[in-house]
Amino acid sequence: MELSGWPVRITCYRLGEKYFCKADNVEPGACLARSVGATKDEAEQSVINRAQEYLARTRRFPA
Amino acid sequence: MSEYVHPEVLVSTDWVVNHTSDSKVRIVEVDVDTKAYNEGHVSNALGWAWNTQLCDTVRRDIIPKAQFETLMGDSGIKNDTTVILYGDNNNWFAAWAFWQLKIYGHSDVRIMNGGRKKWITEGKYLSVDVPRFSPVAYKTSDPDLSIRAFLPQVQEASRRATVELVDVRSPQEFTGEILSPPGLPETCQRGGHIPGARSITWSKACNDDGTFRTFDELKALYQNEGISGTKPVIAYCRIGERSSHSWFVLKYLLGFSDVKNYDGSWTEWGNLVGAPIERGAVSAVSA
Repeated sequence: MELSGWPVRITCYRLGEKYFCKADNVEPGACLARSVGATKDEAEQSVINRAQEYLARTRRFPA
Repeated sequence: MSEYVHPEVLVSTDWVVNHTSDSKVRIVEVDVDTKAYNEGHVSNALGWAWNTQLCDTVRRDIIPKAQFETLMGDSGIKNDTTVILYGDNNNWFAAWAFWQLKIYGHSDVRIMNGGRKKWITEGKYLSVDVPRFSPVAYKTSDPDLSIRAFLPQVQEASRRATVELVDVRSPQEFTGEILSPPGLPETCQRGGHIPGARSITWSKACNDDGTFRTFDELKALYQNEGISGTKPVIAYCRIGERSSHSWFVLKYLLGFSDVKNYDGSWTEWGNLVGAPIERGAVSAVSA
């Protein structure tokens, strides 16, 4: 998945009655955001929204 | 296929399953933050917060000796306890903790190969119970600073090229296109890398499941960039945690004798007034 021009990996798992999601930025693989929800969709959408917000702040400079 | 030079510093997830109740073993999760631990962790594992429990919270430094002794003692860790570290982000902060435990001379510390990622992928049990252990006395010797690089050593290495500098950040951070990993706060004034450094991204040392690549693959990865262990090596990244991962690979899996982690890393160098900086392309011989 790509968000704000950056590759993002979403990982979800269920623990008991809750769904947990994590978004990382693939390279370097750092965790950007975590979320918890009653459904997988809810948790996934929440983590996507937060990751998108953080990624939009990343500035690119001419190298 | 050759074996790692120090295979004893790694344990598998299955090994951990069989030792969660072993009184001679203490399992500790160290993540980028403590949210993951709170969601669920290996049974009987403690959770350490790297930014408060493994850092001096006033000045920028690792924790002082007395605080380290308190952390270990309060965690029920004796000097002869086998400490198993694991965490998220492919064990970045577990490696950071490993590095500090070695600075303070803990003899038996190991990393769970694959970390939290592999544990979850394999569907292994996650507990939400926080274990309590009776405090014990823990004493350490003076810190071993032979595995830690400070700014003057790095400046000397950059000037004289007598030491190999390895930048383990992403290629985009190395070239100066971005100042921090995408989505994370910019913590430096300038982008680029230390003059003379080679770009060997930490993640090239890992398989998709989070485990380390084989000895032969790791050896080839570094040799392709001219890093063979014949010269001392200093690894750096942004804040020193990714480079502690690479330090672990170079020191223990490849067995290089003189490897240091520069924990000041780019947040120190990239904020220094007047420090020389190189920008632009990754070396042409990149793997």
